Amino acid sequence: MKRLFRPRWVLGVAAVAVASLVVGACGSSPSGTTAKKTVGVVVFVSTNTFDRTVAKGIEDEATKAGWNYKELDSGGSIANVNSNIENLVTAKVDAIIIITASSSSLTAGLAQAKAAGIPVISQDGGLADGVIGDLANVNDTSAGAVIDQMISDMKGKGQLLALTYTPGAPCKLRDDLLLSKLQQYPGIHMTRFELPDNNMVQAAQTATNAWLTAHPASAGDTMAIWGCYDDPALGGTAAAAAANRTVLGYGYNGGPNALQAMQKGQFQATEYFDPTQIGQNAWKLLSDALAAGSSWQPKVVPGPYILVTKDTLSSFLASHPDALNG
Amino acid sequence: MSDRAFKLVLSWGSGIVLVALVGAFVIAAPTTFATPDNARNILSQAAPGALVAFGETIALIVGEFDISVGYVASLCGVLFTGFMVNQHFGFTEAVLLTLAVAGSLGLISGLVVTRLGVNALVGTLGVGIMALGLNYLYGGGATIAGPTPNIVSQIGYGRSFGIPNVVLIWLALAVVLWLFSEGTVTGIHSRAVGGNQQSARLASIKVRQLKTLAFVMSALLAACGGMLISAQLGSGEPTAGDGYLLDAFAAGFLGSGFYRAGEFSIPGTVVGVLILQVGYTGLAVLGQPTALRYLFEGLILIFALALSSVVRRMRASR
Repeated sequence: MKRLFRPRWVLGVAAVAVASLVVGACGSSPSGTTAKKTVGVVVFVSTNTFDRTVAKGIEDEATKAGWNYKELDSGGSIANVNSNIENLVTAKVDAIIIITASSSSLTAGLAQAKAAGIPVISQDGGLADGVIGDLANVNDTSAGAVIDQMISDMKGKGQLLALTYTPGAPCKLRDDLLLSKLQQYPGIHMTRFELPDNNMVQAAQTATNAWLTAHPASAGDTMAIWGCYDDPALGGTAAAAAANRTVLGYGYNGGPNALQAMQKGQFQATEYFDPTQIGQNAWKLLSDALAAGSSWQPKVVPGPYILVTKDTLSSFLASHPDALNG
Repeated sequence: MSDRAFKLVLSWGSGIVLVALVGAFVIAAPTTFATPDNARNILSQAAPGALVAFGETIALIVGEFDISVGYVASLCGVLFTGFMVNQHFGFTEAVLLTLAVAGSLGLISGLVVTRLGVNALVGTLGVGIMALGLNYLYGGGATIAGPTPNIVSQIGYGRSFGIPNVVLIWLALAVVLWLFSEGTVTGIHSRAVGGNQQSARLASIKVRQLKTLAFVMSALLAACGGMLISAQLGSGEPTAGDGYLLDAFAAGFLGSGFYRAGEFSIPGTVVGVLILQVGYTGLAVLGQPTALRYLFEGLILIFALALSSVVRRMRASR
């Protein structure tokens, strides 16, 4: 035990510890704020085009309102979302907006934000202690519209490949609804594939190839691929097209890639959410809450959506000419 | 290089990096980084990763790798919460059962490596993927959330004496593991195995048993990390621990430039963990773009491995 306490390294450890503590503890914590306020935005995964565009919508509105904007990416990790909230509290932002992360999993971070008096808005994460408003773009109504369209196109029978991602709150909601609705249609035989955290599109293609092999064209079944959002579903339909198989495709978000695939006939329906509009709505919800002050009550605001099908695509693009550009 | 400077670099290199990093962020963000709240945040956020890193370090000390730590942490976070929410076990039963599952997985890793002779990289990867499968088997990939005993939230974000409980837990475990690895026969023999397996065997040290023990301890510590994550999040997230593997390696290798030059150690891993967390938090507080964080992670991993290699060569040359 004596050798554990050699003076030199003990002194060294003590020096490192003291130096770190001193620089960490000293420095003022000014109560005053800079003239410009700052909004901190936590993005669940910034490689998701939709989420990035939502964040951009918030940034544009914040800048117009004369606020500073700070964005932190969480790399798809809910633990990082929690840490990022705490870091934004440390950075003394004036408001926080969380994009697509379940609020019920952010207890520690939200508790810190609430203790610091920092209002938090969630986009599709749900209300929780510390969250003063939620934009619920993903709900049973919006999720059900695509599923109902798919069941109608399949005429209630055929083979379905469902590409799911249960850790994601919007995907989980849509997946639960799909399972619930399909109970009424025993003629639709579903193969479920849980997408991995990374390389979802490639995984979807691999799953699709396996599924197509298991269900050859000679069987004459109506084949459909449903994704809890567009990207993996598009990966699946692309794989099917490469294999020269006719497969109906369904997803959510209505991004440019989905609309382009619909123009080519590879996709049948998607749900269009205007991510820029969602970002603007998030900012408006925050502004309304700040304006209301202590009289504000936490609330859920449902977001608008548009079901876009191959039949309504032309009229949709006529009214939303920028949708193909993202 | 003079002997004095040489010894300084060998023994304190990573510590110097840590102080320099802290200093840089203090200068860059004096009103936000250099605060007691931020220091508490850094230490709290480091807690789960530190426990996973300790587990990895135990494996590194005996000369092996454990790739399963991240997956085991995720699985155990889900099980810990699930046992309380779904099976309505009490806190103690949930902890013991979770540790039992983790210990079993660690035992499998140990037996696969020592008895079947499978390379640890491959063997533990297999066990890790099994853990992933068990994770989905139990929870279906969904988040598990629900009422849990108060002690869970107390651990997750409560404080004692003004210090977050998660910080007290990981620092206490650091002391216990350090005493184990330095002050017990098992710990000293483990280091001998990692230093030279053949010599250790010739000295009648039970190499296989010690390696198996190391894998079991690694899994148990990963489980503790997973349970801490769940306590902090207030839910069992199926993928919450997956990302801790690379950081665990980086922290272990960064630690080889502190305390025991060229060797893996618990005090060294503590410094390694702090280097990583200071970097991540500092960049986040400064609001730096995502790209910088990934660049930092990549560079620090390369630096950690290079440092370990250089220090070992320098030691061998003197």
